[in-house]
Amino acid sequence: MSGVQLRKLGALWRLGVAEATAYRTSLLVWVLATTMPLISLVLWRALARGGPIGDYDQAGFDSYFIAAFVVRQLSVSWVVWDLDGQIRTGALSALLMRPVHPVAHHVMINLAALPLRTALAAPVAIAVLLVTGGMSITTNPVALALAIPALVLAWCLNFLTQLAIGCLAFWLTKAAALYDVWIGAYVVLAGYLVPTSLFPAGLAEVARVLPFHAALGFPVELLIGRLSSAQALAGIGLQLVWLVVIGGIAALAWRRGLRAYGAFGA
Amino acid sequence: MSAGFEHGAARRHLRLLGAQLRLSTLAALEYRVGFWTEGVVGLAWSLGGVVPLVVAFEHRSDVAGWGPWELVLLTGFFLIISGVYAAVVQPAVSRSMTQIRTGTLDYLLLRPVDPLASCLTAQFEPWSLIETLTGIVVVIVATAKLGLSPSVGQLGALAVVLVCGLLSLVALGVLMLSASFKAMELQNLTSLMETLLGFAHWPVSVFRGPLKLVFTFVVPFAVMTSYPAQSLIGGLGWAELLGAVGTTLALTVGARVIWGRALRGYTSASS
Amino acid sequence: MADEPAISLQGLEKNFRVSQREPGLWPAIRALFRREWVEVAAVAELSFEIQRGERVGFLGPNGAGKTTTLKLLAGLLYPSGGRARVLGFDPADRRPEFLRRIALVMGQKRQLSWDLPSLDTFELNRVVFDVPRELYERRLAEMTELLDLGEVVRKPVRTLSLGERMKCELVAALLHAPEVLFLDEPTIGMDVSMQLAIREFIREYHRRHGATLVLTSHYMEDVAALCERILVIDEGRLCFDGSIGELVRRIRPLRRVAIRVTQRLDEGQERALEQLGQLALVGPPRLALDVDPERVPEVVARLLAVPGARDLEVQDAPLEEVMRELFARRASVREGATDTGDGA
Repeated sequence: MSGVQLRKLGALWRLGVAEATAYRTSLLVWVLATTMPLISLVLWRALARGGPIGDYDQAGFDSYFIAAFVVRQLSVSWVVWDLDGQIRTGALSALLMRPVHPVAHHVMINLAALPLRTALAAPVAIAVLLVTGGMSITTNPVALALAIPALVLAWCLNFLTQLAIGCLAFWLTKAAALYDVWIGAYVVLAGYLVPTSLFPAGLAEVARVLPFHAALGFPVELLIGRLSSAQALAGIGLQLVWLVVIGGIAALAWRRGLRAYGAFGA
Repeated sequence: MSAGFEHGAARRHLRLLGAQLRLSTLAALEYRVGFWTEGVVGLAWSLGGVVPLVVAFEHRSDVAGWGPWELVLLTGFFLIISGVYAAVVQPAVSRSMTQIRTGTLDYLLLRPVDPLASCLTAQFEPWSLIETLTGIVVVIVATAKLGLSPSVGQLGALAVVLVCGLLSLVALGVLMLSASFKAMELQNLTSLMETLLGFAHWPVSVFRGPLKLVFTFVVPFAVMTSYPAQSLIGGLGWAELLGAVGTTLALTVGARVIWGRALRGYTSASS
Repeated sequence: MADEPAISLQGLEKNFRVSQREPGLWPAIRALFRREWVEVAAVAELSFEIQRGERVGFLGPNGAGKTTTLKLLAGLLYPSGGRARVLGFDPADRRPEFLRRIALVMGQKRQLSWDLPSLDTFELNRVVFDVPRELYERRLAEMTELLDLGEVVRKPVRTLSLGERMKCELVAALLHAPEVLFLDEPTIGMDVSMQLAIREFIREYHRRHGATLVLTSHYMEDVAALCERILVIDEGRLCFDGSIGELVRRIRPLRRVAIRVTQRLDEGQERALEQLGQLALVGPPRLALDVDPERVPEVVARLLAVPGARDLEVQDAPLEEVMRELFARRASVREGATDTGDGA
C-alpha cells in the first residue's frame, strides 16, 4: 500500500475516533445493550447452583459469558445502519466522489471506535471478573495463538454480513429492519444466551456449523479452552468458508447495488 | 406543564386515539410486507427466546421451582407484553424521537391536546399484535393443561398486575423519550430496552441479589410476566400485589414529572 | 378585552446552551472529560405589541432570532426570561383554548403524513381541533377551491410537488380558522408563480377572517406584499418598527428621481444637476438623481426641462437593495464590536 493510501486511512481513522468521541453517550448505551451475556451469566450461575448443567458448572458459565461479553464488544460494527441511511438519503454520493473506497471508509470508521468502546466496556468486565472471582483462559498454546485470528475473522464476518444486508437498501426501504431478523437468529443460535453445546441433540450440531456460531460461540469456546487443537483448526476453517460465502454475497450486492443506485440517479 | 383539563377533554383524547389508530392502520396497510417483517418475524423472535428455557429443561426438571407448563404460561404473558411493546410503545417512542430530531414535534405540540397523549399515539404497528394474540392463546392453552380453575379473586389479581405491567411498560417508554430530549444519542435506548425485555422470559425467582431488585422495582419484568402467571397458579401474595401497584405508581408519576421537565427544555431543531 | 393587543412581549428572552470544541483529535478526547458550554442569546429583551388584525413581517439576517421569536409566541419554546401574551394567554402554558385559536406554518417542516393522502391528516386535525363536521366540510371546500387543489388532496403526500405540499400544509393548519397565524418562511424554495399563489391565498384568508398575521420570509416581496408593518430583528433585538416606506427612507433617506433621455447631457448641465443631488445614472437611456425628499419638486421641474425627457419617476430604493445595505451595515457594526473584544 502506498504512503498516500496510508495517509488517507490515517485521516479516516482520526475522523472515526472523533465521531466515536462525539457519540460517546450512544456508544455507552450500545455497550450496555450488549451486556446481555452478563445477565445470562447471573441466570445460568443460579440455575447451576444445584450441580453442573451439561459440562458447564458455575465457574464454567462465568468464563463462558465473560468471554462472550468481551468477544461481542470487540467484534461489533454498525455499518448496516450507516449504509442504509446513506443510501436512502443519497449521502452515499458524496462518499463515492472521494478517492477512497466507501467500504474502506466504513472499515476505518468502525475500527476507530474500538479503542474507546473497549475503554467503556473494560470497567464493566473488570467489575464482573472481580465479583465472580476470575475466569479460566485456555492454556493450550495452539488455541491461544489461534484466538487472535479467530477474533479478527469474527469481526470480519459481522462486518461483511452487515455490509451485505445494508446493500439491500439499494432496492428495499426497510433494509435495516431485515438486520433485526438476522440479529434475532444470532442471539439464539450464536451462543449469546446459552452455550450452543448445551442445545438439545440435533439442534446443537446444526447450530454449530452456522455462521452465527462462527462469529461468536467459536472464538469464545476457543478462548476459554473448551476446544482441542484439531477442533480449533476446524473452527478457523469453518470461519474462512463463511467469510468467502458472505464476502462473495456482499461483493455481489455492492456491485449490483451501485449499478441500481446510479440508474435512478441519486 | 398543565394539561389544561376542561369539559370534553377526555372525549377529545379518546377521539384523538381513534383518529391516530385509523391513520397508523391505513399507513400499515400501505406496506403489506409489514405482516412479515413485523408480525411474523416479531413472533419468531420471541419464540426463539424460548430456546434457553428448553435447554434448561433438558438438564433440569424445574427452573427455580417452575414446571414446564407453568413456564409456558409465563411465556404466554411474555408474548402479550412483548407484542404490546412492539405494537404500541416502541413505534410511538421511536416516531416521537424522530420528530424531536427533525423538529416536526412542533406540530404535535401545537395541538390542543396533551402533548404526551399525542406522542404516545404517534404511531402504531398493528401487525405486531399477532404476537399478543398468540400470547393470549398460549395462556388459555397452558391454563387448561395445568388444570387451573382460577377464583374470582385470582382473576382480579391478574387484572391488577396486568394493568400494572402494561402501565410500567408505557412509563419506561416515556422515560426513554424524555431522555432523548436531553441527548439525541440516547435514541438507541429503545434497543437497550428490547435487549432487556428478553429477560422477561424468565421467572423473576431465577435472579438473585441486585438484579432481582432491578427486575422487580426498576424495570419491573416481574410485574409484567412472573406475577400474572403466579396469580393464576396461585402463588401471588398480598405483598407482591402491593409491591406491583406501588412500583407502577412510582414509575408512572416519575415518568410524567420527568416528561414535563424534558418538554420545558425542548429546543425545536430547525432543519 | 377587545382593546387588548393580540400579541404583546415584554423583555422576552431565550438563551440556548451550545457545546463547542475545536476540530481535531486532541480536542475531541479532551471534550470527553470536559465539555465547554456557551450560552447564546437567541432573543434578548424583545418588547413590542401587535394589534388584532395587523399584518406584521419579521425581517433580519439568518440566525437573527426571527424563528425563535415565532416559536416562543406559539408556545413551542419556554422563554428564559420576560413575558409574552398572545390572545390573553401565556403561550408557554400551551392551554388547549389557546392552541385552538392559533396556527404556525413552517415552510421547512411538514405535518402531513408522508405516505397518506392529505385528506387523512385533515381528518385527524378535524378531530384534534374539535371542528364541527359541517364547518370542516365548508372550510375545506372553500380552501381547496381558492388554492386550486382539486384532486391533489387525494394523492399520497410523497407524490406531491413542493408547492402542492405547501398548499396542503396551509389547509391543514387553517382548518380550525385560527385568529393568529404565524408563518415561518412559507414560500421557501418555491418558484415565483407558486409564491404568488400562496401569498394571494394568505391575503385572502386575512381578508375573510380578520386574522392577525405574523410572517418571516427571506423573500422581500412576500413581506412587502403581505405586511403593513415591519419589525427588523437582529441578534435577538428589535432594531426597527414601522412601515416599509419608513424603513426604506431610514436606510436610504434619499429618493430617486429618474427620466428617460435620448442623449447624454453636456458637462455643464451635469454639473448643474450635481448641485441638487447625487447623479446615480447618466443615461441614455436613463438619467437618475438621488435627492433629499424636500428638494424633489425642484428636481422634478429641472429634469422635465431637459430636452427629450420622458417617463419621469420618483421612487424609493428597491427593497432588496435596502435590506442588503441594512444587514451589511449591521454586520460591519458587529465586526467592529468583536475587534474591540479581541483587543481587550
